[in-house]
Amino acid sequence: MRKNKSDLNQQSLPNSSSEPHVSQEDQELIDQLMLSFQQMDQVIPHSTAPHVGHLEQLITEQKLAVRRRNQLELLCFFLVALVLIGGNTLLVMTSWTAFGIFQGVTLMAALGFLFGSYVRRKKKGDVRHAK
Amino acid sequence: MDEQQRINLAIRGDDQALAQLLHEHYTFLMKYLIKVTMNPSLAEDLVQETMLKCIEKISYYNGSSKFSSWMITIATRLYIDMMRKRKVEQRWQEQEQALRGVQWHMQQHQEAWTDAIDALSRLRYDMRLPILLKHYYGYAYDEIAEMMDIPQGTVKSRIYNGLQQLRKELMPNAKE
Repeated sequence: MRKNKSDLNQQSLPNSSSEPHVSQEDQELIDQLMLSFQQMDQVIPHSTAPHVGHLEQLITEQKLAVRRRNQLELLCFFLVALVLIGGNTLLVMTSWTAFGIFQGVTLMAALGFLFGSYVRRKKKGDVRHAK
Repeated sequence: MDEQQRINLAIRGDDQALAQLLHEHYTFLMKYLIKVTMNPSLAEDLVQETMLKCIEKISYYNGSSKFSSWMITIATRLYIDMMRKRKVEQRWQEQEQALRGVQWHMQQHQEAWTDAIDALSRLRYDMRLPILLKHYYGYAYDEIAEMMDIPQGTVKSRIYNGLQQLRKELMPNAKE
């Protein structure tokens, strides 16, 4: 799985201009660190991979848990939607002005939230594939 | 059946194919997390969490990176989240305890607890991570930035500062 140095050099060719130069001293330090990582790999004991059957069982259980959680979230969504639609209908029946103000405030809050999250995402850099 | 076929089946909901994939990548993930955390028991917990997350998110895997890289990305983010939530003191105590364990294991195998390992263990996790990903696993800066969810410039500066810090500890007489 690990990429060796030659692979690394070939892969980084297109980006070579953005790769900072590594000094001789740094290279020695990096080599020393990599040796330490290798020693750790060999020495530190770790559990063996669980049996495939056990993993299948884990997958089934996890999928079931996720499905239950999704169902609960959907139920919460419908309840909130019901409260919102019911509340708005009641508001329309009571006063059109109050309904207008409420809609305006909600719209502004939603736009503010969207803008805020867009700015935050731009600062951090969006990553989709790992979400 | 090759890995790509297994991935396709797993995305379509085949539990057996996904179990096989997780089984094949278990050791790789565990070794990665041991090096990241320098704490075998924490690494084990994170492997479990990563696998659960993979099961949950497998349908979102789009093949833009290798399956192992995708797993590493999930594991890295879980680790970063975990470290952010923990208090500094709690982190320090756990780390000290874990390091003594690692030190003991290395001595049992007649491997020296070198200054380099010691310096690495004292390095902040957000600096150790990019150094490991860049120089041990050979990932490019943009890939590391994506894995850690930080800008590329931050990755470069953390690697640079991390190496400077390590150099200061290991070679106190070296020029800046």
